[in-house]
Amino acid sequence: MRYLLLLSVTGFGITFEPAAGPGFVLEHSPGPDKYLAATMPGGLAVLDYNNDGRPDLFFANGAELPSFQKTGPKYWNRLYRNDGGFRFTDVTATAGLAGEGYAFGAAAADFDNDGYVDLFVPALPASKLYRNKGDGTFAETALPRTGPWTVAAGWFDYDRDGRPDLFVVNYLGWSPGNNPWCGDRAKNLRVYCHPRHFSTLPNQLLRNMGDGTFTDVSQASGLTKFPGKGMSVAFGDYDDDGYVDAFVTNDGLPNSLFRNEGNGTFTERAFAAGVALPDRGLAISSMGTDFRDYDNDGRPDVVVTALAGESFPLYRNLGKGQFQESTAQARLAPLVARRSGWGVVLADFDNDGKKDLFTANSHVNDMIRETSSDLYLLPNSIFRNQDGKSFADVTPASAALAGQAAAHRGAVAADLDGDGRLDVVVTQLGGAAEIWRNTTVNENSFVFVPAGLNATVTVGGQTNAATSAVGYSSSTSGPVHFGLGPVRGAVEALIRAPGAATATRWRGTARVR
Amino acid sequence: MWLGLLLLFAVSSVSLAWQPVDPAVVAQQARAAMTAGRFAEAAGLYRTVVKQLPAVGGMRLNLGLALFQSGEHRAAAAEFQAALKLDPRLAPAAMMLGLCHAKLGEPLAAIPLLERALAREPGNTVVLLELADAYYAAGRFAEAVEHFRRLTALQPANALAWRGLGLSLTELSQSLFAQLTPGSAEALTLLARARMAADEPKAAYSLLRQAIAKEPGFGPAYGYLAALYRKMGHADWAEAAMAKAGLAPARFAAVVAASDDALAALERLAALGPSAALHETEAEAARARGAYPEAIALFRKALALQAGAAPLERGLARALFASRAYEEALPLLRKHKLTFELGTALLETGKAAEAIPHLLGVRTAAGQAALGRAYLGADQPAKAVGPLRAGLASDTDGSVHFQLARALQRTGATAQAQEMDRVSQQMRQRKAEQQEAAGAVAVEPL
Repeated sequence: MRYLLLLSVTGFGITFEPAAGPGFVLEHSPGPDKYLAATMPGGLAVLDYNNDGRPDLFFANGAELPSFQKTGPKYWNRLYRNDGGFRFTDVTATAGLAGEGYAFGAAAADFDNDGYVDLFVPALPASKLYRNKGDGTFAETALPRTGPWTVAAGWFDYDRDGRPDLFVVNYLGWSPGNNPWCGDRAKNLRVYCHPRHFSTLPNQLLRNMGDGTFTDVSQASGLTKFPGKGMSVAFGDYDDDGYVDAFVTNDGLPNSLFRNEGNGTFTERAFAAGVALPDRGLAISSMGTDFRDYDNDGRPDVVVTALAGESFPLYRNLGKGQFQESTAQARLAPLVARRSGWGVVLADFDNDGKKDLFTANSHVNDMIRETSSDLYLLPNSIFRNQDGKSFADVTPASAALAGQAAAHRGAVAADLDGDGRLDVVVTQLGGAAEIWRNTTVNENSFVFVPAGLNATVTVGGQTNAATSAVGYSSSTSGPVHFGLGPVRGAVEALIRAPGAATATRWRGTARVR
Repeated sequence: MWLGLLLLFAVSSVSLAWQPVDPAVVAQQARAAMTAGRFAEAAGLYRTVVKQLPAVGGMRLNLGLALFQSGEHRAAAAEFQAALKLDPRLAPAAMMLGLCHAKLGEPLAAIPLLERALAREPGNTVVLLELADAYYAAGRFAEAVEHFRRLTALQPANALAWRGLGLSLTELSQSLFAQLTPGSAEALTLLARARMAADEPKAAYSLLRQAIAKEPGFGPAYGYLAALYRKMGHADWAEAAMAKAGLAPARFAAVVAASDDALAALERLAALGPSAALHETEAEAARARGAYPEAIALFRKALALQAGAAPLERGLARALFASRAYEEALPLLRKHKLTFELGTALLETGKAAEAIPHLLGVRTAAGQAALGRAYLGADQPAKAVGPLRAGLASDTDGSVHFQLARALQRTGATAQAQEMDRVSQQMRQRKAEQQEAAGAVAVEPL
């Protein structure tokens, strides 16, 4: 019996325990007017802003509504320096990142190729770009206007000129002046309006000109022809043509898959590729997304979080530009049928060589209990990738995580304590950000491979991507993680930059915690 | 009340003493069991007697009564029929057969039997209630209203009577509305009236505008428009509209009268105080307006007053289903064989393969669509094609066409899949345009 118990603890589980966080509280300014912005913030970024090898944390924060004014420090965006051992120091003021407006998320990448990670912060009434000066401070940099409501963004080099460009996700045509009364008047029950009450917006593409300026090429690239109600973006070369494509989740509308035609333009291919809608054929409230290879066939797959009753559709990349929804085949359907999710991360949490799934959960509607049995506050979930094809819910093994219901929003994975196990940072509306320390016990090894933005990295039979956008309006930058299972000793990685004819070899050593 | 009525019918056991097992004694025991409320036991004992005395109509009647009380309505009906065959003048058997048909959901068979029973006993409120219910179930709402009105006159404190009257009048109002020409000024004005009652002034305004455009001289539309303007604080506009208001035509007035009377009946029900009938009515209203948690709580309150009542349990099951509390709904859905909801609940909880056997027998278009979706979810696209095709008639948003396209694509029928995708896209587009149009009406004076 003891032997069996040992097996179950060391061989099959993923476990998380709460770690002391930096104390960041997401101020979203809820109120009786049900301003739509109040349910939408929570994106964050993991970035090593000071190049000390430890991933630091940036949190976007709200503001007063409807003014969008950060009227006090409680509304500041926050940058926390990672001092190791889950100790963080608030360096916001020094870094000059307190920000302005009502911020929703972050996109981190070294846009000026100076070796320091910069930050784009989508916000109302105006988004901001901050250049990392390399001395622990950031300077606001001019950028073409985005919006009117930019909720997320991601960096990718769409034209392969070596300079990261910015894909800007615009949500919908809400503003405090266009905030209709939605709900049940008989019961005086006001709720956040459904997206159908608002107009669509086109996304934007800002081309990095290489001299510190950007040009809005949304029109020329064809993006403006395909407006939506965007929530998040993720990147991947889904058709393996050497150009990075962008997948955008839309709220209450079919998703968008912008195929990079390689000539500076994009075509929208979501229906043709099979990622516009889940098999049920109804547009869902698509929230966060990740675009990575969960079945180790070398092709990036797509996962989307949505609301209860809509499931979290998983689209398997079949090759030749085609996806097939495989939520049921991956045994996720019954596990996610009643959950509502925002942040989502496909990452190998137990270092066994297969990417698992973490979702940050909550419903969008804080009054949902008045009209259904769905819950607003929910605990997060961890689904372990069992065999490269199917997932199992291992959330109950982490009692604290399973028991902590909250209005979760953004989530990112990073090895915060340098032990080779990916930890998770999750934001929640009106509450302190959660840090979930990965306490998984096993003998598996791991490696972190440094790679340029959008590079595809292959180690053994696994493929992962260096991408800046993940989950809901969130971002990670830094080396690419691989779990290696029982592998020991030398490890070789193949790093292929988008469109490169040959891959670069990188050699390292499999590390064991 | 029932037991008293039944015992009144029970045939005396005298003159049976000559039988070898002494059926008189057994019948006496059966009667005692009935009195004590041990109906199943009584049924067993009466069956013994009937075996020995198959030609005694009274004993068949007694057996039928015991079975009826045990909830064995089909078996009871057979005994009442046998009793009537033996003795066509056995009036209680005819009445009880009518009640059996009513309980078995066979209102058309119940109505003539119950009408005759009521003719013999005009003051029998039990029969009157069952007859009114049977008319309601048969969709004969005017007759249901008439009988429920009689019942409320005889029993002003009978909650079931007021509930039945309210519901019958509601249905009557709706059936009268259905007789109007769709899209006519009358129909549009009535729809606007309903939107106003639901506190949706923008939708009401849009409908009134359409009604007036259709028939500029339609007086009642201006009356409602005036009320709408007044509510929105535009007294001057209201005055101008009132100047054009006119009398309602008879058909229009009949719909309004039935609707108003329904409301009055339900208010009388509420005034009687808490009852299962009141809670059930409130629960149904809550469910209809999408307040599912409230509906669930009300059905539970009703069940607390009338434990195990099948209609209440079915109502609770449907409210749980609508509220997406599928796991909680499943036992009740199984118990009451609500197969469409059961299959759909399993589908919604990601158990497509489990849903299939429950949906196989559901022949409606929506049921077939659900079955097709279940096959698709269970990775059996070839089997999904047939049911999805049969389910296309239920498609209002393009989703079934989309599912069929996926099934066809996975079975290699690419051209057909593309055609289905095209239709799906059109339907989705049309729906989006309708939604956009509905939300784009600005209120201004007409």
